[in-house]
Amino acid sequence: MEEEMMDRMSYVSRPVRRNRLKFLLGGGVIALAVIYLIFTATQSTAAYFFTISELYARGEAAYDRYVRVSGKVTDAAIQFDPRDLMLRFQIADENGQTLSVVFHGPKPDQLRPDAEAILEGKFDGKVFTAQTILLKCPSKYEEEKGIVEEKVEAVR
Amino acid sequence: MIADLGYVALLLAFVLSIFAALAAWLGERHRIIELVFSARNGVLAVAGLLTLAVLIELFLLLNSDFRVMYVAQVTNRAMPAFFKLTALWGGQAGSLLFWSWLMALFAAAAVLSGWQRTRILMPKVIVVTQLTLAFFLSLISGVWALLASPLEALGMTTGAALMAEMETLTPFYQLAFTPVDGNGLNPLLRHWGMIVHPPLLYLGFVGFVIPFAFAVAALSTRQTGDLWIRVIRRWTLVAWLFLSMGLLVGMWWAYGVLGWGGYWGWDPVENAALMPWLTGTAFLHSVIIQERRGMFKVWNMVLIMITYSLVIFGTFLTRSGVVSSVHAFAQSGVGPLFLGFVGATLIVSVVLLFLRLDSLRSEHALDSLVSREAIFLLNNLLFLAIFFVTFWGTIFPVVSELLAGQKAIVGPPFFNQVNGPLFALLVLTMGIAPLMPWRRTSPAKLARLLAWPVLAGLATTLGLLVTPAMRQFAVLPGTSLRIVPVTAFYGLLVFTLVVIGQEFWRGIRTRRRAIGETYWTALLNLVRYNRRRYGGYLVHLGVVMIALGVIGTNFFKVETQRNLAQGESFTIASPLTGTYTVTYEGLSASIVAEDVRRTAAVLKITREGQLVGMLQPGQDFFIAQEQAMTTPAMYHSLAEDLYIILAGWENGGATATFKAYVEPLINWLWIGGLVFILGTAMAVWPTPVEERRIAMATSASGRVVTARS
Repeated sequence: MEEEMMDRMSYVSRPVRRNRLKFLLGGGVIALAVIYLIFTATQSTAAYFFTISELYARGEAAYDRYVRVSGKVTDAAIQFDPRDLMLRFQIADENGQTLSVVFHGPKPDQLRPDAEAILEGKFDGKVFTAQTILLKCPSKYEEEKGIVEEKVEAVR
Repeated sequence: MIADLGYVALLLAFVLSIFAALAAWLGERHRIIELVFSARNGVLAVAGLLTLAVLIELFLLLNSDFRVMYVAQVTNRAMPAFFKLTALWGGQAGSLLFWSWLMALFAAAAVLSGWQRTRILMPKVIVVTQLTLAFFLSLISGVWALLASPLEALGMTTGAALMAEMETLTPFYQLAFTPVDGNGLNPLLRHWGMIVHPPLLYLGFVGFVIPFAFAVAALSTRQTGDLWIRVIRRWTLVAWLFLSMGLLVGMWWAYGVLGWGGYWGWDPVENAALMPWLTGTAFLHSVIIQERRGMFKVWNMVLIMITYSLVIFGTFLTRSGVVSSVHAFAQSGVGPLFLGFVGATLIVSVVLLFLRLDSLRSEHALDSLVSREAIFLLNNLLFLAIFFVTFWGTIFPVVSELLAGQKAIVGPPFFNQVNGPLFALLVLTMGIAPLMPWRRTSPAKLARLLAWPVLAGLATTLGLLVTPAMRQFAVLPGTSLRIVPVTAFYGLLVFTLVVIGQEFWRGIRTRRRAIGETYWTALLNLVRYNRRRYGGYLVHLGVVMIALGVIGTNFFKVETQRNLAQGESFTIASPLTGTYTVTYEGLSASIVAEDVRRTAAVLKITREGQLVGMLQPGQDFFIAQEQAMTTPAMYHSLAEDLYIILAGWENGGATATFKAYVEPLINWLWIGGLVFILGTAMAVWPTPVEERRIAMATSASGRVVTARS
């Protein structure tokens, strides 16, 4: 009971106010640290998400940077060498721009012409070296609009 | 015919839920008790009608009534009956129906169980739960399609088209013809993990609506004292238990079925379930402070409101296709409606909170930075920080497109980089908090309390850094990178472990001295009479184990990929146990189910020359869907898993390609998950003491609850 009274009275006293300042400062420091972490990590890990035309339009600025590109797998021959796990194929966007892709890893089950591909990797001006392939295939599920995805990663 | 009946039940439930909300509102406002009773009956009737609708949907699924579009979308004739039933949550319309049904049951349970004790809160609880329910039912009862022609008349053609499409979203929508066969369920979902994962997740999601409803009721009736916090703590724990289980089972499924050797990819849909869990966990902690010290009242309200909004937002993320993701359902008009609903609830919540700030004044002030209150505050800040990081990363594609005009993404590296250290700090606060005295403490006392755990933790870290034999636990395979953070984290885990052990030991010793019990009886009684506290410690123990698995798989995972001819082998070195040799002996074919054919590679596995066993990674081919699905094979041990995938084969199996992973300590993640769930279940279980407290709070409340025990 007495303790309760003391608490009430001390509610406005000076040490408490100083305390509150301490807490606000501490919280502020944590918040700033987190914001700084988010900011730097976003800068260092964010990857642009391009269409093929956008990738070409960027020119050299986009070379050798980790980016994400999407397009449809074309009818051009899909080559796969199971011995050294080298996969080569082409994707195209709506404007008809094509991009040659090379991937070191297993051939995904769903890689076939017309499959929607999202690739992550680097472009050197000629060939796109994919680190991951994400395939969205036209599927029967959910009224023909649905997607079944398959993701494969390159050998490190 | 019977589908029409189901549709009528759904429509009636929609109308009745709105009626119940209105009746409860008006009944409370104008003090018409009959209306409030009528609202209660409405809540029960809605639950009954939706149960009927679900039963009818199940009947249609089981009987392969393909005239019903939903049945044709998610099932086919060849599917086993069991999967036909679980297809109830295999697609958009069905899962929304399932969600609504669970919501209705929770609302009915809340109203029935709270009717005697918390009568004063009931009208608003009914309003909130039934309005939420009405929103979900509006999505699947086709009512939004009524908006199509007015929108068309206003010249908003895209909006009109989206709304018109909503007509087909009801799970009872009938086609003009009867297809010969249905499409069948996505093969990936034909796994027990995917059968229990969605219901658990939905139970968790739906469960969080109840605490929110109580919070809004308490605020608007100014019953912000002891009662509501005690009542909703149990509801929150139940929701949290289900959500935790849902997350764990989801991880287990991803690991065992998706075949990429991981269990968590920071996928938007995973994040959608994680975010309310994070804020809900923060709430469960800070609510203890409100119970004990009458502080953090506004904060707690804010947390429960955020959690509720995140539940709705999460459902929106999974359904709208806004961000590309492995599990997202197809794009639809549902997206804008969800966003509108989240926006509306946020605005109402904030306004209500603002109007009632005066009744949420803290009863005490924070005394010292070195107190349990302060540590809890830090813990809350960390949970919120992790939530914010996750939120930011999830919506980053949308934000970047809006602000920079170019869509950009952040992947797992972003989340790991930022959330990793935050999680580590969180484990630290988890370790310290139980030791911290309330209010304030002297440095000397604190040093005495922390001495043993700190010593043990430091010894672990130093031991790992210095001892050559232990280096394998501390060095990344092939590098010497990150050795300090990883070993520091191991030290942290040991520290926390010692704290938990100490807490148990102290309790046992006290009982032995006071009552003279044996060690085992003392332990049993300790846990029995303090379920919440020791259940909590058990949860913490589970977290330590989970963290062990996360460190193991994140830092010490080894992977390799090889193409082998029959009789050839490859090796993969484990950082913990030795080198595995994998020999390819050939392909085998088998029939798994009526519509599934399996091709599997036969592999002989040896470790350091010793035969460990045979593994058969394979590929299941689903005939009806013409789809292949990879089935990984695993060799489990407490130290690690050897995880192998058949990536492909050539010339009838003369050569085949494999991908292999060593996943160190992964099984501690699953064991820790079980301990975690067990601890939570223990804390949820009603104790006589807790029941008495609620009863006391009720009797003290009378018309206005102000007293605190």
